[in-house]
Amino acid sequence: MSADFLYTIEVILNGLMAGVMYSLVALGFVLIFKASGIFNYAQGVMALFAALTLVGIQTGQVPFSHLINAIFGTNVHHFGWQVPTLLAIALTIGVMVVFAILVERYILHHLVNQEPIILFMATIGLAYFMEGFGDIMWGSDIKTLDVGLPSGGSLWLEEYTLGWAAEGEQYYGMYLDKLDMVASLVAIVLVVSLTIFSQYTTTGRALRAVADDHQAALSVGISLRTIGGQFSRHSFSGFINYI
Amino acid sequence: MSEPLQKMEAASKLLELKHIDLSFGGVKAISNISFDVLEGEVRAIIGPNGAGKSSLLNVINGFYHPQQGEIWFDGKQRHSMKPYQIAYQGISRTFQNIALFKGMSVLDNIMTGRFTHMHKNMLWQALWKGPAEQEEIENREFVEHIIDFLEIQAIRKTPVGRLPYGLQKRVELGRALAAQPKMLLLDEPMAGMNVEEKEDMCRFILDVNDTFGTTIVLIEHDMGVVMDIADRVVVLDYGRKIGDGTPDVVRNDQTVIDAYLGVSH
Repeated sequence: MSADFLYTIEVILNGLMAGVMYSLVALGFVLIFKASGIFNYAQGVMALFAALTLVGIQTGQVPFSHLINAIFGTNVHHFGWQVPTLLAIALTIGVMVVFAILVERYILHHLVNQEPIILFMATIGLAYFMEGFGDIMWGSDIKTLDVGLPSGGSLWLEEYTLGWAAEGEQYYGMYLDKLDMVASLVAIVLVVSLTIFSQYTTTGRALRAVADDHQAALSVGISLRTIGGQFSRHSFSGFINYI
Repeated sequence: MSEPLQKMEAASKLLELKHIDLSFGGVKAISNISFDVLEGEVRAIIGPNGAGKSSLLNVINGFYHPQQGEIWFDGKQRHSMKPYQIAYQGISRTFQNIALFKGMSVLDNIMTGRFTHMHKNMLWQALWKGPAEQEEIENREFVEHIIDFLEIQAIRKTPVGRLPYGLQKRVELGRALAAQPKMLLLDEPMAGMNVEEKEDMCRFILDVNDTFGTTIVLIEHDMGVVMDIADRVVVLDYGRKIGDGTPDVVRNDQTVIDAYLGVSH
C-alpha cells in the first residue's frame, strides 16, 4: 500500500470519529424529540452545565462563590478538597436528575397538550436561563475537564501500521486519538442499548406513546412525568459527549 | 324491553355525577348536569353539536376539572385527579378523532393499553430477562386475546398510520379494552363509518358488554344505533340535560324532539 492511501484512510477514520462525537449531541436531540415531541433547544447548554458541575465538584469549588463573596464580602473559592472522578460523576448525575425534575415540575408540566412551538420557546428560555445560572454557580473562567480517560495517540496502532506502507516510502504509522476511540465505543453502545430499550420494554413503549399523542398516552395511564426521567437521561448522554 | 329494566334494578351505581358545572372563561360548557351510570349497562349520551357531550366525557376521564359538582366512581368520591390516575382506577376511553400512536404497530398500540398492569421497574426492563420478560409474555398473551376478539389478527404488525379509518377505530377500541377497564368511554365510535363497519362496531360493543361485563358510556350521533344498543340515554342541549331514560322514553320526550327538530330556544 502506498503511504498516500494509508494517509487517506487515517483521515477518513479521524473524520468519522469526530462525526461520532457530534452524533452524540444529535442523539440527545433525537431522544428528546422522539420521546416527547419537543425539540429541546437547551440540549447543548444542559451538556455544558453538566460538564461545569462535574469540574466544579471534582475540584471542590464552592458553588455561587462569586455571589457569596460579593454579598458577604468574604473570599471563599474552594473547599480545599478533591473529589474522586467516579464519585464526582455520580454526584453530577444526581444534580442533573434533580435539575430535570425541577424543569419538568415548573416548566413542562404546565405546558402539557400545548403546541410544539410553545414548548420549543420554553426550551429557548431555559437555555438562556441555564447559561447565566451555570456562570453564577461555577464562574465563567476557562476550566479543564480530566476524568482519567486515555488520551493522546495510540502508540500501539502506530507501530502496528508502520510496516504497512510500501518499501522505501516515508510513513510513520497511523495516528488515531485514544479519546476519540473510547468516545466512539461509548456512542455505539449507547445507540444500540437505547434502540433496544425503546423498542422492547414497557417504558420504552410508553415513551414512544407520549411522543405520538399526549392525550391518548394519559388515557392509558402513562404519567407524563416520565418525560422528566427522559430529560435526565439525555442530560447524561450530553455529559458523556462532553467528555 | 323488560331485560334492560331488570338489569338496571339489580345493578348498583358505578358512576354518579352530581350538579357538574364546567366553564372555559366566560363560556359555559356544562351547567348543572347530574346523571348516573349503572354497573354493566350501556349508557348513551346524545345531543346536537356543541351540546357538551365530549366535554362531559373529558370530565369523567379527568382531562377537564369541573368548577362545581361531585363525581362518584365505584363508591368513592373523586377529588381532583390526574387523567393517568383515573386510568389506574379502571376508566379507559377512545377519542372522537382517533388518538392512536401512529408510528407504532397495532400490537404495540394495544400493548400500551396494558400499561396500568405492568409494574416491573425500569431496572428489570433494562435487563430484559427475568420478571420483566415474564410480565411481557403474560400481557402479550392477553393482548393476543383482544386481537382475536376484535378479529384484527392479520394486521397486528402493521403500523397504525397505514390502516384504513374503520380499522383504526377498532384498534383504538382494542387499546382501551386491553386495560380491562371497569368503564369504557367511547367518543363517537361509529363516526365516519360505512354501514358494514358500523354493524361490526355495534357487535363488538355489545360483545364487550356481554362477555367482559364492561360498563359502557358512549357518545353517538346515529340515532338508529343509539336506540338499538343503549340501555339508557342522556340527552344534552346547550350544556344542560334535557332528557334521561330508556330509549323509548327519550324518543317520545317533547323537549328532546324540539331540540333535535330545532325549535327556537
